Formats: sequence, C-alpha cells, structure tokens
Amino acid sequence: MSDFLTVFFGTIVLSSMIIIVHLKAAYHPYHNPIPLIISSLTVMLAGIFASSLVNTNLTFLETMRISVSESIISILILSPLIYLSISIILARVSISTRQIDIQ
Amino acid sequence: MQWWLGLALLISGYSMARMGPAFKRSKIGAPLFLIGLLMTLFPPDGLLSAESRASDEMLASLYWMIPAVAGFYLVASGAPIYYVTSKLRLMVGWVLVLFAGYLIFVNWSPGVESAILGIAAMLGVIVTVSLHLIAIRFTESLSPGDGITKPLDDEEVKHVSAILASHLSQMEASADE
Repeated sequence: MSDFLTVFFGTIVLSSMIIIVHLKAAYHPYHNPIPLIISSLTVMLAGIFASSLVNTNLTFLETMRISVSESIISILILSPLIYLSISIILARVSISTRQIDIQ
Repeated sequence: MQWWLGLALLISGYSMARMGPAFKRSKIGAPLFLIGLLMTLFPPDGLLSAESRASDEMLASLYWMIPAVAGFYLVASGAPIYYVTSKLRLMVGWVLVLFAGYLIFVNWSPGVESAILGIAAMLGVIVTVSLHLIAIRFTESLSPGDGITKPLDDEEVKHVSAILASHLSQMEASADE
C-alpha cells in the first residue's frame, strides 16, 4: 500500500511539475498563467506533503525525488498502452475517406 | 541536479516545439528537448537509487519509442488531414509504428505489482488533470468576457471572401497536378 500511495502522490507531483514548466515555457502575452501556476503549485505541495506522510523516515526533498522517480518508472511501464491509444487514433485518421491524393 | 534540470529541459523543449512557427522560441524546442533527454539518460553519479532506476528505464524504453515517435509523426503528416494525403509517408510511418509494436510485443511483460503501480500512476494523472481543469474553469469564470461579436461589415465580408476564394483555387490547382 505504501508503494501504491508513493507512486500515486508522486504522479500528482510530477504532473503538476509538468503543468508548471509547460505554462512557463509556452508563455505568451494573450494568456495569464499565474492562477494556474498557483493552483498547480498548491496541488504539487499537497502531493509532496501527502507523500511525506507515507514515507515518514525521509526528508521532504528525498520524498519528492523518490516519489517522482517511482512515478516515472510506473508511467513508463504503462507507456505501451499510450502507444496503443495513439495507434488506434492514427489508424482511424489514416482510413478517413476525405482526401485529395498528391502522389 | 543535472538529472532534474534535464527533465525540466525535456518538458520545456516539448512545450516550446508545440507552440508553432508564430513564436520564435519554437525553433529551439527540439534542440532543448534533445539536450534534456541526453542529460536525463546519462546522469552523473550521486543519484538516489530510484532516480537511477528511472533513468535506466527511460534508456531501456528508447528502443521502441524512437521508431514509434518517428512513425507517429510520419503517419500524422501523411494521413488525410485537411483533405491531403501522402501515401508514401503513410506507408513508411505505419511500417515504423508496427515495428515498434512488434518490439513491445516481444519485450513487454509487466508483473502484477508493476501493473498495480501503473494503475496508481494513472489515477494520479487523472486526479491532477481533473484538478487542473477545475482550476481552468474557475479562472475562466472570473473573466468578464467580450460580449456578443458584431457581424462582419461589407468590407470585411469582401476581404474574407477573397481569402477563401484564393485558398480554394490553390487547392483545386494542387489537386489537378
């Protein structure tokens, strides 16, 4: 159960980090990212705190590093399913009949 | 620290590359992504055990991810989107995608414990995305909005019609070729 919760909270931290980095990297003047950065930061900190409650023998920083790393490993285990989903979507797009052949 | 910086660069590079040609920084997206990937895959000593395992797992996944991503790109660019098809791209793309699928089929065998942790990761993503969508909805509800848009005047109608006619004639010309 401890591993399950570590990965669960680690994925929440990782996803929030990805959202924050994305909002910063893809900033443009027609969008105000500050409210979303604040909300994602709150979710991330809550995830680190919850993860530290599961792993009481570790510091906050160690908790974050371990839980995020474990969540990356778990996401990579699932990645063939992501491959399958994208393949199905592209298969549907590929057999679409609306086309003008340029070959 | 290098490993985490690499992860941040990897995500930043992907985000910038997705911004499209209207933004100059989209040009540095791909190089940034590659630098981030290299920094993540070949970290220095001193990582925690979990970080090293994550790095090894990323490296081990590349053998099927590279043909898969290349194949997805070719299929997406060759598929009949916007009414134009490139059969060569489509065919090469699907060969790569199926090759990646074969590699996965031969090598992928997650145990029960890994599958359970995978479910935990999926739940984590679902919870975060749901909270993010709620935050977006809340933020947008604070915006006053622009009200009702006025219809186009005669000059604007002429301008839009000219653009559409120009695009349609170009499309017909490329179809005739």
